[in-house]
Amino acid sequence: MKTNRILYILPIALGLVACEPEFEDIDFNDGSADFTSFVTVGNSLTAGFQSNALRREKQEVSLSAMLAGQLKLVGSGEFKQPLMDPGVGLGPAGNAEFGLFIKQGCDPSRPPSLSPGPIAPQGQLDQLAPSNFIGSNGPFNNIGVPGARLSNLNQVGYGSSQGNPYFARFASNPGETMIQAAMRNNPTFFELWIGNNDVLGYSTSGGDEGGDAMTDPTTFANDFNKVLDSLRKGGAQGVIANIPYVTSIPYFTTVKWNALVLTQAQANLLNGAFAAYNGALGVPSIAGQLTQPNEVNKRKITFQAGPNGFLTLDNDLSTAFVDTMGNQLPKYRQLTAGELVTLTISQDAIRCSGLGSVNTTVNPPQPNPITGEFILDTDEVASINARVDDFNDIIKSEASARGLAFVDANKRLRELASAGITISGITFTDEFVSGGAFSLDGVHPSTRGYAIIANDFIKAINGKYNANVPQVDVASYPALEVGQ
Amino acid sequence: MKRLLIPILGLMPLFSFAGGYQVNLQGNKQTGMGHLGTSFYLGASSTYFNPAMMGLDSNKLSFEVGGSAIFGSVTYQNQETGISESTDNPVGTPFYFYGTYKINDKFSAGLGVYTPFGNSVDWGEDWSGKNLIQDISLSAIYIQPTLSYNISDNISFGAGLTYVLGSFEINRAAPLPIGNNNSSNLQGDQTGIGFNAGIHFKATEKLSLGLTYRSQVDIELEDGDIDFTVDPALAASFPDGKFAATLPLPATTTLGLAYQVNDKLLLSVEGSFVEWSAYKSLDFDFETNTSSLEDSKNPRNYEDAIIIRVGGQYMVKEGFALRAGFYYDQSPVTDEYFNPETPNSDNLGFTAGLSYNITDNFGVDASFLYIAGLERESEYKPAGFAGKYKGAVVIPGIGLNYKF
Repeated sequence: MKTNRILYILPIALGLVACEPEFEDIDFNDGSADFTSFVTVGNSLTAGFQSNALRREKQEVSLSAMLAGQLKLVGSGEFKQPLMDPGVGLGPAGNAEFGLFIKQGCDPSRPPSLSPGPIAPQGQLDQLAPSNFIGSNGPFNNIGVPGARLSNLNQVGYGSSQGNPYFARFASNPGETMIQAAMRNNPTFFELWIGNNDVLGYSTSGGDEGGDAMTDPTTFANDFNKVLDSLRKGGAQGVIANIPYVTSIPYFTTVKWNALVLTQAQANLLNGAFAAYNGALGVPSIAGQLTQPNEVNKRKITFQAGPNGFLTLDNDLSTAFVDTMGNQLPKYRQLTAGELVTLTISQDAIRCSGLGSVNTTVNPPQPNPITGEFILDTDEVASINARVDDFNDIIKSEASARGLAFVDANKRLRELASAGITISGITFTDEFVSGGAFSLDGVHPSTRGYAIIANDFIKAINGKYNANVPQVDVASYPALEVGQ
Repeated sequence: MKRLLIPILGLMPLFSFAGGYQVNLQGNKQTGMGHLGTSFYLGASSTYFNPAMMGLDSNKLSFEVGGSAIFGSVTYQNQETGISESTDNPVGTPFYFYGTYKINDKFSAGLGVYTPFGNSVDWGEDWSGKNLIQDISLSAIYIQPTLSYNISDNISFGAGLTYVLGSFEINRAAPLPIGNNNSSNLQGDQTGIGFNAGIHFKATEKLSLGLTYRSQVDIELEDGDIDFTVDPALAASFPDGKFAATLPLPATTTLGLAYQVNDKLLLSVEGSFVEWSAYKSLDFDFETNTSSLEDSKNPRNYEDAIIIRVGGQYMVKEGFALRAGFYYDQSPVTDEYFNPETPNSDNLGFTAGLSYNITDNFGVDASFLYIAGLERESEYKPAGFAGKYKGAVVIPGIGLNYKF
């Protein structure tokens, strides 16, 4: 019986010995870099802007906060952000932040769909009022100011009531520049991501039709050089990033140029409506006034079953008088491949009041062209992307001349738009909402999108400074929620 | 059958720590000496190890029954984030039953019920790889009626049919762009049919050889149940329903050689070839597809693998045997398709065991197996999930044998 007892006890004792295998801790370190005092300088991307607003809950997971959190694991100090009051997202025009809602569109035959829209504010929207300024609580480490262009970084007065209210809110005095606010920390390491707004304002307002010009490349080069000189005055090391193409963001890629899908009957009806216009193009006295290359063909309006280019009103077309009374031929044409439509265009107007074709809800039906501020034509797209290339050349050469870590954000966003990026079982694409990488304004990343970029910054830092800073776990950050 | 099967499997989670989801615990005697037993007779469990040997029994009736308790864990470490997480697997309890009947000098009949494949891995609901796998339990119970025929004094042959009851359940988080508590549960059970065969050759008084083949069995789920838990905004796009999937249980060929050194000592060596390359992809064909719900294709691209075993048995006295063994079990998983669902490294197995006959007819068999899952750094490329993995398992087992 003795043997039996051993047989009985043995398995239990041995079973208890089984334990979880363990790995040695990974040696995370700062390499040749000194992260003691870390500052971030830039625009909305650095601030933590998402879904058309700055909001505390998103600032806490901003690109800056993620980087600071990881650098802290290898010796970086306290990182103070100019946090908004809890619960209120605030946009540059005093608008509330965007959330995602299930909405019934104008067409009752379509099922309700998910669409972004402003959230009802859950608190006061007066945080940008001078009485709520927090400049005396500084210095702050996150000098990301939504809307800032490169030239604003050294601009005296940008922190005043005439400047940018986001910066005025936390500047220590109205005369302080953003660079001065950063230098109050005596930084040993900086993140600088700037230049996006030097093309974006022009782009999002429809190119030439908007009121915003792109920055001149020579000015950009001088300003960029000056900003880096200032940030490196105390010998700080740092990481800088380049600028994505506007063609990489859902703001310009969601509504396709040819999203006007028609049946044959609808196409016939529309063709009838434009018969007179097309006829006028064939009248020699009128055609003679159309002086641009191939303009007659370019302006011809034809619809067919399936997808069609939207009708647009293009002020760049020639002015042509149709009679002696001063009546002009309308400057209509259809969008062609390569042209971009902004996300801000009304989907309801396209579906239910013929925006981009003919509005049949009025009597008589009226052509309802998309106006230029919602369109980037191919020339505008080309000039914007060429300017981005100019800026990126400057950024890249400054990085290598000064021995700074460099993030190719432009390449990363192109990768997102082409193949997508798969991390821990999540596939991110550039699709609006469903792609998971962008917030609801179609311009700024989502929290997970920022996490992907944060890891690119960390990889660049690790590569340049022979460091091993741990990356963030992208999948652990939340996805969008309905009603958020 | 379905009603009966589920409660049984619920009580007995199986667990893999052999290559892929193979479980090498089909007899405590054999497990004690490196899980080999293709070329020498150790009792009714030869129904599994080499059916040709059933006729080598000198008794009219022989029975063996037993089981093991698997205490195992795998640890994952992400080299970039530093995150380290371990499985919290339920204790696995594979079991076996064998009975053989000697019809006459030439023919013997046998029946085996055993569990050579299974997998029970639980990483938790909220670990960093939750979009690949939260938990999985897979089991296959083989029921094998078998006949053997002694061709001559030193050559015998045996073969049997295998009727397999397979069952499968997998939980995964669903990485949808909206909502943070989306998940899917897939489960189903199905039967499959295969066969096994073996040949045994006693070359000399001391040297014997055995060769066995176990066929591939495909568990073809026709009407698995899928249950989505998703954000209400997406519910219409992810309807619950049925799915079909095929899981291959691969063919295995084993060649063994045993040498009776003297009255007390037996040494043996074996090599197995497991045709894991049959496991190309785990695909779920959903009965209802929507614009958001396409069929789920999960490439596995396993490669054929080998197992090398050595072991020995020492008869301390009549009715009391000690055993020890070692094996090397190659992982069929490549570095590009290493999914934490089946976290399988190359394994080293160290075994010990003993048998003690309480009476002439009745004995106890015990075994102990320690498996070291060698550290490996791998990625499941289709999901972009990489890191280091390391496993450790201890498996005590006990069995009874009865013959007359």
